[in-house]
Amino acid sequence: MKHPLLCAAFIDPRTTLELDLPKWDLLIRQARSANVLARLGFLLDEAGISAQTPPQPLMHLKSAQLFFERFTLSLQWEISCIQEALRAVDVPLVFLKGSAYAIAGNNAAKGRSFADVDILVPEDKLQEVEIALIKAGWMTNILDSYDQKYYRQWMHEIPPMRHLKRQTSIDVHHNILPKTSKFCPDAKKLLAAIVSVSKENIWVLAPEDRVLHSATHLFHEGEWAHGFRDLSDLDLLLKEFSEDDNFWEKLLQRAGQLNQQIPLYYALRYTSRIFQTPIPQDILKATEQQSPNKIKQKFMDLLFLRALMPDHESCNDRWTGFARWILFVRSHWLKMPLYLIVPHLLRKTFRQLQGKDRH
Amino acid sequence: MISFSYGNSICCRFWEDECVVYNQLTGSTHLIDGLGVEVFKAVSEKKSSRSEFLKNLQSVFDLPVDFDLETGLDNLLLEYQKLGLLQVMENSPA
Amino acid sequence: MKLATLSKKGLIRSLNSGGLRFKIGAFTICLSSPIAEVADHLLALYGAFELIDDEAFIDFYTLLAPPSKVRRYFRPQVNFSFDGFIPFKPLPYNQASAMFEWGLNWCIANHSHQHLIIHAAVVERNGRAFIFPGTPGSGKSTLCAALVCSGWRLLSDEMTLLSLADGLVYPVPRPISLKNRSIDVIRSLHPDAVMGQVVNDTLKGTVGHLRPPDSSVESGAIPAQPAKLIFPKYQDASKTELTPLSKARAFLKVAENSFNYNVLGVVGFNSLGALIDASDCYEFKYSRLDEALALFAELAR
Repeated sequence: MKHPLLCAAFIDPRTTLELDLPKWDLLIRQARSANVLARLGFLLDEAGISAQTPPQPLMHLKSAQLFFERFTLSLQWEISCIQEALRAVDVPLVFLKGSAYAIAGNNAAKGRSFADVDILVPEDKLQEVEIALIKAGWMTNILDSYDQKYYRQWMHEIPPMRHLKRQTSIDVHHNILPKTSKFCPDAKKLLAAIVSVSKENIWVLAPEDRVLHSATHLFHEGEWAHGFRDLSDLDLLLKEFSEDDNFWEKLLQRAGQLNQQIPLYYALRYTSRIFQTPIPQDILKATEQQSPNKIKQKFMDLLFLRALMPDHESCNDRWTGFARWILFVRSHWLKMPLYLIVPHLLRKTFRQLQGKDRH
Repeated sequence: MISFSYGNSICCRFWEDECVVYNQLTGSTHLIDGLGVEVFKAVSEKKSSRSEFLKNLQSVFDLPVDFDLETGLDNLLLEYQKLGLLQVMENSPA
Repeated sequence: MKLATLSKKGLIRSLNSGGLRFKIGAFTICLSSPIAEVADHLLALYGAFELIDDEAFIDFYTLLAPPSKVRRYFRPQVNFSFDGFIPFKPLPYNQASAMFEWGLNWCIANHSHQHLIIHAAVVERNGRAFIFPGTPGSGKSTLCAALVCSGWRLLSDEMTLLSLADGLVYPVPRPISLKNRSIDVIRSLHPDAVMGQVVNDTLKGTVGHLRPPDSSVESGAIPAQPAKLIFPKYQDASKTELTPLSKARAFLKVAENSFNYNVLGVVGFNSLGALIDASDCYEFKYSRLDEALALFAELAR
């Protein structure tokens, strides 16, 4: 397998000082395909070497960073609109994933733009939250009764809602994995550990839980176009949080409580392999108890090490397409029992043939 | 006290008797004319108590004697508040 | 080395293996395509463009190719892709060249936020840039083509790149896209103007591209100072009328006609403000091109 320039640049931005123009050309292409152009720009800024970047690649980095700055302001506004809409509902307003990193000021927020804001609410408050959002101008965009039923019966979130005026999306979750998944944690435990980030009613998951959610989301994922970016999130979260004493022990313990040992095992295995994230040896050893047998592990490496690369032709080999396809099927396998998957995937395929679905 | 909403997220540019106002948070741009221009000028120059406003408007516009400037101003301020451009603090000095 | 120095064979070889690398204004493009008509389009319209070597940095890798092997025989189609990413639905095969022009517009508009990008034609004379924002039907491309054919420098017929850094307009001189009736209007005004293949039944009607003047292509690195902002409106049988437009209203109209004003935030607001400060703003109603040309020649003195 090839080792992309982008990985080297993320591990040590100073490696870019050695690049000639054709290599910069390739680096920018890989970063764009992986949706991390702006993040690469910030990494070079932080290393204090953007002034040494040649003007042409620098232009693409700055352009992406400017786009990201506008995104950050829009996100702030969106969050305050959501807050306003749910003011009358008696729930802690817990933000997840990208919006949580932004609110908490985590390094993983840098250069990370996304389409949907995700929030977590207690399951018994779902309906109340949904009604409040509808009153404030959000609408469910999937009207197909199969999809509605699929979401409400099996998923950990209600169908995505879109704001009529602003055209922004919100995903309202009541858990971080579908009810049908055997790894589904007890959402009450997540909610019991949330941390406040402002005087207002704005919360995020505890640091360890933020890592675990990121891990479980990535390794249950079906769409791998953002694999590299999402793994980089984990790398940045782990580096940031491990500055606190006892973080690693707490993380291990928490993975046990939330039934997330396997996603954590993969998260640590692949961040350390791809991003050389500094993870203490004893922690890596401890999570290896979750490791499958040697043959299966080899197979999983074959899949993940490819799917987690930037989605660019220069990073692909002949196994990449196969790896992404197998992982797509696996993601459904993990989310629901077999008697549900087959009809669901068949239906998805049928809709794709009709051109109704772009997943 | 009358001021821009959300600290310094509002920008204005003035040309003759019109101005454009940009709200960085919502990303929306507004064209303002008439009385409104004086309101935004005053806020930009931080002459922002309601009485200063009234005095200012009176001097700029040659208004008819029976014109209810106070009601006019209040309606305008209400509209700009709705657009998220200005905020009017409670207990503003008379 | 200019593109015109390549033989058709050599050009096709480049397009099929590794791509043709050339410069448009400040941008560098790599274009790959197995489609023969694309080579014709380039030979007819891109002759004056400078080729670049393999060591250069490429801004946009583009590919025009049929979506699948099967479709090659049955109602053949073409896809535009930007380094593997396909932003649009495929078009009929015979529109490949037009699709390259539209695709490149998309690449520039979405990835060049170092500029405020206005949907406007821009031409220059005596160092002063005239900007013509326009919704479809305003006649901006016809006006632009007529001005360029009578000696004005072409900066762009479609997108005005206003640098956030220095407030100058940067050229992207490319073939001028003409639609429907304006193709014949320009042909009758300038019988010697070089036009590429004219394609009927596109989404935009009949489309043809006019070759940009070699001198405009050659001065593609030289920016221009904005001077006039003119909102054209073609109206059958109307008199030629130039009416001053208030600066605040002009601001709003340009913002509405911009590709990335919304992305740039306060930086875009300030740059647009500076552009409005620097430009006289007008609305312009016309039906006779000769009168329009005379008027602008006067304004540029």
